[in-house]
Amino acid sequence: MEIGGADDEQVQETMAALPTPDRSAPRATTPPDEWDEDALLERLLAGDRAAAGALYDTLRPPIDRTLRRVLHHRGPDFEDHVQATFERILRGLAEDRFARRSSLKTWACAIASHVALDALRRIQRERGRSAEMPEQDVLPAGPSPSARIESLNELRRIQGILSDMNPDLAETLVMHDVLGHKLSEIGALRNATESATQSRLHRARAELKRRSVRPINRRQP
Amino acid sequence: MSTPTNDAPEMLDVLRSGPVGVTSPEDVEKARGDMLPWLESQIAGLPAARNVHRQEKHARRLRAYWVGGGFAVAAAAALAFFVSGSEPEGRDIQASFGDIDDAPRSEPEAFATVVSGRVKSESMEVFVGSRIGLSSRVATTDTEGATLSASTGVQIELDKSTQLSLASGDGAKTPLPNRLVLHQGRADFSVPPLPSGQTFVVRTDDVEVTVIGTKFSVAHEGEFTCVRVSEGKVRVARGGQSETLTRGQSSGCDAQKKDATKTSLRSPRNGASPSTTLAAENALLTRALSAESQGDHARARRAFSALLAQYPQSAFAEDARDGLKRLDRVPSSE
Repeated sequence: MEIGGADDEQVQETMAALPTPDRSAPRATTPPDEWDEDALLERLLAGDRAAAGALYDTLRPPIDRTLRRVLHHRGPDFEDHVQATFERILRGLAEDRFARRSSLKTWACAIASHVALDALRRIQRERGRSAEMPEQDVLPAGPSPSARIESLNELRRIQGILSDMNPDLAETLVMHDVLGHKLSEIGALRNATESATQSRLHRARAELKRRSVRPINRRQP
Repeated sequence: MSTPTNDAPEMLDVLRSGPVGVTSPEDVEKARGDMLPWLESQIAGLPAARNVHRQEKHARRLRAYWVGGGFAVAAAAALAFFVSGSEPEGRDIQASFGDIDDAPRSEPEAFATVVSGRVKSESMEVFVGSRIGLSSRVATTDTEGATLSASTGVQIELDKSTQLSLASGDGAKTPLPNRLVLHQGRADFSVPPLPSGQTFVVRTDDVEVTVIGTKFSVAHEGEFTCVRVSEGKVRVARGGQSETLTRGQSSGCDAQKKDATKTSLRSPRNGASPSTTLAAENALLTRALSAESQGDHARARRAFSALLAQYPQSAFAEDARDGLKRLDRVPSSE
């Protein structure tokens, strides 16, 4: 399953179109393809400020893609979510929580999906308190305006279900069915076997299906 | 990749498909420029954050260890009390924690924890909060001392340029956590009151100090070892002879010229020199304790009484009175 590859390409192309960084500047802007992941981690753990550019260039595309796929818009808070993801990544490194069972990018995706699901829960709580819907900057695809509005409603319904689900199950669902990561990768992140991860995915899908037949907006009075 | 078959993926099509916003190259560059300074500062603080996290993790483990160790020691002490409750007190002043060595210990390799200061072990710096194992030899720097807290409750203040081994160092089959070897420098010890029959031992090249529960210091420089007692009572064995030191007394400090003036002893009786009365008092107390430990209560009573009669102002007087009280509690049939 290869989902969202076009997003990555779009981000990579956009970043490739940027002017070449000035290598004489004190800030390190070495292209990420010159950085081995182990070397990058080693420099990060040593507190090398010069690794900031490489870390950003390496992880921004997968983080960007994950956040956009789950949140489905680039609202004013989007950059805050990106920063929150980087903050959690660095905190995880400081607390030795990255066990290198998966690639750094996959780990970053998992953290970004966590941040995105947290944001969805917050949005759902705000929707529960306010009758007005937050502004959606981009409507989903559809052949006509009415179809696009219908898609938007469906999107919000699915987001509502995800935000209500067990966080672990929702994260597994997002990682596998939305972002297209393999079961083995997801299992490695949690130090679980592939069969255990598949079982978790099965439960996640069952919960999604069960919740999808319930009346929506049940939180509202 | 095999997945269960149901309609869940189709339900999520709305997330997987559709536009999610377009970002111009200018916006991407701006976001990068905005994020990098913050990211650099975070990365610069990463080693310190790691250090703090590791120390906190270590402290959490240590707390768990102390709680677990406390329960284990309490259980072992209770067991020892019930098993050997009929044995006379003070039966063996040289006994060690080996008496309860069979009791379960949660982490037998853990012995001392660095509380403050700088300590090195085999050229590796040992951070505050870290544990030092039984077989370790630690050293303080030339500029800073350190404080260690042993799992037995003993507090150890290491002076600058001091080297200390935490192993028994005497070839014992089982290295016990109540023996230290001072190779160089000075260390002050604060030993909590120990259960009956248990001791704490500090050795240098020429001296073995056996403690029952006290505060004392041992300084080992060149061929000399100076022992000073701040509280309680210790026994010092040197060259085949042993003497008991109590509060305010010292041994071997006269040989160290720079420390000679600091030696403080109690006032002698009848104008006799301190060393004269000290030796006599010490001999009486040693004789009494020895007799008591051998079950010869009559001889012990005589020795305690003689000590009190001849040297009523002796620093050992309280020990003698305590000894007589103990003997009074012994049933008369004995």
